[in-house]
Amino acid sequence: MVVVGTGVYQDTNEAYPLDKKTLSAVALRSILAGASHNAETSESIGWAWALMPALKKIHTNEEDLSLCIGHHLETVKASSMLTTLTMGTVLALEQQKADPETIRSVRTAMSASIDSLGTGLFRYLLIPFCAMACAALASEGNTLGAVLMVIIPAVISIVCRMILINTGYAKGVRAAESFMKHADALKHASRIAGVFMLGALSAVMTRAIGSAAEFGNADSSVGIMTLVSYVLPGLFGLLAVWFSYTLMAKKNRSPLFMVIVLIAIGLLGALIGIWTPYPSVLNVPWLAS
Amino acid sequence: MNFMIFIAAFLMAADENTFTRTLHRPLAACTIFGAVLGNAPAGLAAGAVLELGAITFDQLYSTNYILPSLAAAVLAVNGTSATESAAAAAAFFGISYLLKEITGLINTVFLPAARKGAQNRKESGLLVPLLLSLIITGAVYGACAMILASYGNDIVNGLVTLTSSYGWIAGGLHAAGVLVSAVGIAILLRNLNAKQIPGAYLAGFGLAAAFLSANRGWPVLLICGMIAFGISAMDYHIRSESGAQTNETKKIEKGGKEWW
Repeated sequence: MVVVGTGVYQDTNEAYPLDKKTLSAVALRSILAGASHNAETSESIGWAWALMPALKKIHTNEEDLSLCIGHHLETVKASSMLTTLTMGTVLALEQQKADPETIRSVRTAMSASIDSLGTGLFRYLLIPFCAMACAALASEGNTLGAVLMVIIPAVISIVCRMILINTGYAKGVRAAESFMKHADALKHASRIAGVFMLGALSAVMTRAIGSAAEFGNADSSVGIMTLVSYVLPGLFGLLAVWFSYTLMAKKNRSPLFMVIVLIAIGLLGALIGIWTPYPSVLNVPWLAS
Repeated sequence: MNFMIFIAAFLMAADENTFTRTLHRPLAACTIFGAVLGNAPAGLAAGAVLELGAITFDQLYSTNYILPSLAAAVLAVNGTSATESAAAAAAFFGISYLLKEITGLINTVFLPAARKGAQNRKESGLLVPLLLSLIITGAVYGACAMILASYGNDIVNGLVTLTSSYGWIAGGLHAAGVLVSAVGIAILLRNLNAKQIPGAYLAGFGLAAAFLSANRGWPVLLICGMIAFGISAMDYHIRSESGAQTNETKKIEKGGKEWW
């Protein structure tokens, strides 16, 4: 039986280059990638589904295709409008039949940083810009304000996706052809980037523990972990990753088992007051009416 | 009316991470809810005010604005001023944030099915979990919006009592939603054989933690990514120049067992 996501490709011959139609299909599918957000692997299901048209053309060997889809189901950030840049680059590596470890390293490092950039551009630049312009229109009673608020970011997002998939793929193929001359060096170097970014993700993805206090009233109680997070943000994330890694890699526990254990820890920790209890709704005019 | 609110909230939640990504924004959502409730201009006015508040909230947290927008629209349609409606609606930012964590936890249930789909090379094995995630996310927000619209003040007062009495459950679910991401990271660490280069992991963690201590928001991962690629470029250069070979003996499965 094939172990999903681990191992090396059997067919290492470079695949035919992907055509624009396939790349466009991937870009259009990427719009749905964010829909699959889950607590364990972020948008991995949507990511893998979006890549499917291209992966099917690249991997004609069935076991290679299983392996490939399997490793694309690992944690990946794919919700931003720039995500197709990473998809294009990853597809270039797949087409060159790079080692799966190199591909997962590049995917991890690139998706996290590109998603961060995409989220920043969307949430802190595009949305405020549109919101301020459209809110001004709307406050005069013009419904066009609400319509433009929806249309402008959507059009920009789709255009970005369609352009970046081609850019990522073209540049990725050129880079891969050059770097693959030293495949071992590439594998090691990309692994450093991937593991480095996993360290960063451990801190960033788990920083929200304790942050609920900031929604609270002045008399909200503050959990121990909230105080700890002031000293070293993400410390509990580091411990949780170490705990999961140890149980899964050394004790052969399944991911599902770990998810259940961590949910239990989450609830138990809240019950005994390790984390901040979720605050009540603020006292606002709605309640007074 | 309630069914229309359910449909509107469902579509907004489904859209949040997919098509336009902006239907849930207060400006659009309040107008839509206002139209459903029979007074689109009142919803539009409240949405304009709430949108400006949402921009500030965006700097801190990623959430959606369906429930706050509905609350603002209900109040505005019932004659409350746009500013007061928006202020009242802000109370629901926290609930929306919590719901996002809960839907993320629920959607984790579909991962084993997706992995099985991958193993069998079936595209439907990925598409079905994807669509189910979309439907569940939409349904959770749709149901909450419908309850909110149906019971108005009563449900808000009920929420106050409930979150005061059972705050630990919400806090626990919120913490669990965050903690579970550690599993995905641990899988990748194992598959990347990270124990050979623990320094890279610790360096990445340390750098991100340092930025977070300094209250730096979204650019943390971008900066870490640039540094990571810089280090790996240097490593590639050194290794390709020296022709060094890497020791890539993989010992993934302990005792030959598999993970899934």
